[in-house]
Amino acid sequence: MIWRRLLYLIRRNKLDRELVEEMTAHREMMNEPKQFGSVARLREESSDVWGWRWLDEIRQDLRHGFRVFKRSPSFTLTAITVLALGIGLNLGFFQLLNAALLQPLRIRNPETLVRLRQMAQGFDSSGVAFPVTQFVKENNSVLSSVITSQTERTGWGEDASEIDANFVSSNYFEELGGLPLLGRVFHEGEDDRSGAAPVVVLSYQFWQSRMGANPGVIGSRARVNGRVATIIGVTESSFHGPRNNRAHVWVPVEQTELFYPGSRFRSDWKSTGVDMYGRLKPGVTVSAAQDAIRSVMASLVDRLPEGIRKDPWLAATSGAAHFRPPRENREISAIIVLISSLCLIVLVVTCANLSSLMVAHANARAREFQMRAALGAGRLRVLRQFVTECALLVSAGLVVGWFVGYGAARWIAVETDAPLAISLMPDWRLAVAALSGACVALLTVGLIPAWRSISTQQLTINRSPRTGFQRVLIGVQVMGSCVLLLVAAAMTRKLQSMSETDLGFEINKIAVMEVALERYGMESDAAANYWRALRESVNANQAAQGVALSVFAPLGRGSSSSVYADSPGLTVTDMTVDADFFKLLRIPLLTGRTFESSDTRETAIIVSRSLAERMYGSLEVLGKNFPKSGEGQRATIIGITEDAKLMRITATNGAESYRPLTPSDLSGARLLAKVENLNVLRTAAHAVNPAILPSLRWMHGDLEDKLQAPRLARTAAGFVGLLALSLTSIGIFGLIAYTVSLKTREIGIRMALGAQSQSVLWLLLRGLAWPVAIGAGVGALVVFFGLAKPLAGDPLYADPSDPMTVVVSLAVLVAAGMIAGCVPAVRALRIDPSRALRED
Amino acid sequence: MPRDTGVPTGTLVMMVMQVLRHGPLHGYAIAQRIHTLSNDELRVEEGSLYPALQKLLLDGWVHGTWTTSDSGRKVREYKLTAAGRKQLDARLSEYDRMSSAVRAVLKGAS
Repeated sequence: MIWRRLLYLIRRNKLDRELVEEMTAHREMMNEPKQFGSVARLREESSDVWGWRWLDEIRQDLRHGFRVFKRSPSFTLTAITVLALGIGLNLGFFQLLNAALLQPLRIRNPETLVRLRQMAQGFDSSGVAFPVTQFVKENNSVLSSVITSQTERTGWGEDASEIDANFVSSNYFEELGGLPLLGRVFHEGEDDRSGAAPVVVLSYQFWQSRMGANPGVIGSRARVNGRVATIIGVTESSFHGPRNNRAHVWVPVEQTELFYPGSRFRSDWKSTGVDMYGRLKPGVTVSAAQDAIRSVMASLVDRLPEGIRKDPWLAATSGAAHFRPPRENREISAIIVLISSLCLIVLVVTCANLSSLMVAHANARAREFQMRAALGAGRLRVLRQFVTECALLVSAGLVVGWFVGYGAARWIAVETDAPLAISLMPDWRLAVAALSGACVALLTVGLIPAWRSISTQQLTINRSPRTGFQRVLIGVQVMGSCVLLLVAAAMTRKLQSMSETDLGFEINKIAVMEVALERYGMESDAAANYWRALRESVNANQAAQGVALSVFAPLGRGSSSSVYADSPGLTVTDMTVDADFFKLLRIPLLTGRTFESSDTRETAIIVSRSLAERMYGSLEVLGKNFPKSGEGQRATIIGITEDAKLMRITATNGAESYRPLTPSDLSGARLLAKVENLNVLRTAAHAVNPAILPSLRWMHGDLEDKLQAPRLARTAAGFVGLLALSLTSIGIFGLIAYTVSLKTREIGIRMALGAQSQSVLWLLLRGLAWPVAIGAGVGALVVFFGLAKPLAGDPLYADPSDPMTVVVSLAVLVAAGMIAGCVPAVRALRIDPSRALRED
Repeated sequence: MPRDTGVPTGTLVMMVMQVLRHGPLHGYAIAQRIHTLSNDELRVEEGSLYPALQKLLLDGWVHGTWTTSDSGRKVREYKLTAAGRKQLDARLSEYDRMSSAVRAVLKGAS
């Protein structure tokens, strides 16, 4: 039956012809052909039997729709553009969100893989010490394997150009499912005897960009940190390890000493710089594994360094959640809420805009609808016609929007230098998002105006000027624009305040030099000698104006922070620096003194102003113990400095504590220097020890890196805000122009009777006052009460209720609305009364 | 379905099938047969035959073949299929049951 029906659909034309032929013959055979009835009607009834009438009607509607659009190309183009932008932006953001957060990690069985972080009372580090990883590996019963990974800046080739080398356990590729494109990857138990041949695996991207994609490199030799190693393989382009890392090359951690002779890295219990992962045994849950490892850690306490002896444990996070700890998940969801509400607002604004456009369009077509109704078209049929037209528009908007979204996502991914592992390939989630966006658009843009215009058009013969619905739509658009502008303004303001002076320390011409001394096995005395020689060499140069040592470089990648019970909500950046640090970076000392050579970590600490105020409630803290309440040995506060945003530049809840650099810190320290150019440091380092390859950079570059993401967010928000603002302006312009056209006659009469131009302007614009006022008010409320929290939190720290922000945004909004409304209104004032009166 | 045929709904289809039971006929002939058999009582709008025939074709109860009529015209001859025959029998018995029931009620009520 269904098949026959389909067959009828395919052969409809032929069947129809046959039917007509048959009926004509019948009619001719009859004596009284009139008795036959209408051939046309009977033919239609017959084809009704075939059951394809709805298809014909849709086809008619579509054809009619196309004709309507062809007749008003500017309307069509505007509508499609508006829709494409609204849907496109949503799709673009969703695509990024999807790629970065929702799609499963592209490694083997991420759900049974856990990341382990070093925790202890008052201690939280993303990494673990290498001996700890090995101890846990040997002594636990819940992990089937332990994987480690640590990235180092190192030299490549004869010219020792800087690259990132990832030192990984040799089971790394096997466990994570990384396959070789060429050659082989590491396998369990790479040769680690001294005198063994060092091996290196290249990442696909490195092989492409640096080796010219030459397949002949396998088996050839290359210099890594000056040592000769054999290139044994190239990984597949899609492999980026568990955390989208961008290592250029991989080296087995078992061969560390072959690349850094004398390295004590593998026996150093102090540094917590290793990323540790574990594969859960079948049936073991994440929390069970965490508990089991906790008891293993308890037997380690004696060997751990001072800071993490109190209740050390390893926090496990699952690969199913991208290894994000719960806190990070909460932060991310705040950002997601923020971005998706902004996107949704854009969609609402575009839909409201288009909706008013449709209403205007429908008003212009009132005559057509009345005609159709008069010819017997049912309400539903007219409604369906309308919806079909909208569906056409929405599909076109969806197709264009898809490309707009892809373009936007691409642009953002490139601008943010997003991890290569991010895949922007569309998947089912994106399809669902696209369809739901389209449905929202169809409902608001198509059905509501259609229903309205039909239910009013059929009743009112004389078209009374009703603009209530359009005013509501204007209100909605103003609301959306207000939200977006406020957010964009808050972000801009935040960026402005992140200028150099506001960081609280000097970065101009400050260079950072990193040398992995512990990698060369240079500790305490050797390291102290190296630094002393280097300092002398640098200071001897005219082009240098000061040198300091610090364990972490401000604005750099590594950092350490603590949260104290005495100052909850305050994240304290822990710095370990020498006395010259403050002078070099011009961090003012408020009271007290800086470090002297007799100071140790246990005896002396310098705190920043915020920390003193939050923990003790005053600046009178010299000589007090730090932290206020704490067990064991407590340091004495010897000085207070002004706040400086050394690490978390956007944060508003930060403070700093400085401890003196001691001999044991020297092997992991960085050198900071104010110099004219980086060569000053390079030559100095070469003069001291040519075998040690330093990595050099400007601190300014680090600041730029940190500003990149907020800048991009500001640009995106600003762009979206302007987009919404221009849409709203267009909407207001359209509404006033329409009002003018409705009231031409009235304006003519008033002006003929001597009305002032102000009163005529007011007549036209007064309808706008309420929608704009209410829209802006609701928008501001949405921002203050709905979005203030995600905006103020990590990582944006933007304050939308800042008076300057509010004033500027509202001024821009009102000014744009005024201009958009006044242009057509002022034009109306130039109407010649005599002509206006003669008009229909 | 035909609007104003003066024939109870559904019966037209039944009559057409019944007429075709005795051999294939073309449209005009079917109309003639119904005319004659009903003693000119059923004044059917003849064209309304065609929607009914289309329904029968779609349901597969009749089969149409193009031939040349006695007068030399190209006409479509309709033939009852086996499924159609079965359908007709079912409908006739159903119709008989219904109409005798109706008749019984009408008689009893008078």
